[in-house]
Amino acid sequence: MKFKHALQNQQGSALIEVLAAMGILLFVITGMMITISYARYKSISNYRYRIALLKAESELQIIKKKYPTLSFYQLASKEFFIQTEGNAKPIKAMITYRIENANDEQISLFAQTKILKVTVSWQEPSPLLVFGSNQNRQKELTVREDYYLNKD
Amino acid sequence: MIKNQKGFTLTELIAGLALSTLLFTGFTMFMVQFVNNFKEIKEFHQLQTDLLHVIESIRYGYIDKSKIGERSIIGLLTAGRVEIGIAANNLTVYPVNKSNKPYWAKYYLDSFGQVRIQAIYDQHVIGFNSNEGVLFPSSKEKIKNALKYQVTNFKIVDMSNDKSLIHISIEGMVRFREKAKNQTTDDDLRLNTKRAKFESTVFLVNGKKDN
Repeated sequence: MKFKHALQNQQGSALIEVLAAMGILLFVITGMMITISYARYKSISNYRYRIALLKAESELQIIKKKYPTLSFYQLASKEFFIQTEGNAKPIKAMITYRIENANDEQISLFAQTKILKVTVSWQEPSPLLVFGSNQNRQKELTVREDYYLNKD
Repeated sequence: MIKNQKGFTLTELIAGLALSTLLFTGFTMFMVQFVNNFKEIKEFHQLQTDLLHVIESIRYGYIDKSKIGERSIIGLLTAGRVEIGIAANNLTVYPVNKSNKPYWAKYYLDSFGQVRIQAIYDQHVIGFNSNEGVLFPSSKEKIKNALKYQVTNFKIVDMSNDKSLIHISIEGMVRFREKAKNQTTDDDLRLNTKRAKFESTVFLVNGKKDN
């Protein structure tokens, strides 16, 4: 009986129904495209972060070799380029140095504590197909090494 | 029995089928591309992780729990001295060793694009068997008889002339798929592979303490 009624007065889908179905499909596809674009952007962004981190750590090592007692007044900032791929546009990054004197009561009688901080900063390129691209794209990371210098 | 049957004409059926096929094919292609893209991103991430693992192992040391438990084989940060191979793609690290027991670790690039370690630690021998001591890659997956993940460039440079400041540069490649027949080498590299490169410099702070 139900089957009989189901086949009566078939008029197909209305235009609005077709449009709604197409709209939903478009929404799903757009969402998936944004997802993939964002994942790709994050992957490259993460890669740049790792390059910058290794660079900062390397700078700590080079300074430790050149100035074992941190006996310099100030180190000039310098720039380097982060290039993720051979044909990718290089991104300019800046390396800055800072030395701080720490006051540790426990050891200040015997040694002077100096903290060397190396900061790498760069500007991430704007992502494609990702909304809210006006978010803060200025990236920065800092690594530090503590020096305990004998007072003798 | 069934009243008022209207159904579809043959033309409507053909047009409907053609449109559905088109839509279905398009959506399937999109889904395949979507999955492939995600797979590529994941594999590129894996490549970076594996390359970093090599750099970190050379810097801090390598642990093979099955051989020496939680103790690590020597890396550059605690090394007494190093020797760099003539081709600059291998590095042998010696500790500040006051005893007569043999202890060294060699990090090198083999002909398959793997970075490996060979080491002797007291009476333990690591990496002399072909199944062990592979630092890179973590996956043994192959594409057309070649490893999916390969190191394409591995360079060790002495930046100080007294082997106390060592620069490591490592570049790796992941191949997503085989080269198509009609592709040029450039197209193959651009479309089917992705590369990552990391560099690091290490100061051998214990270098002067070597005996």
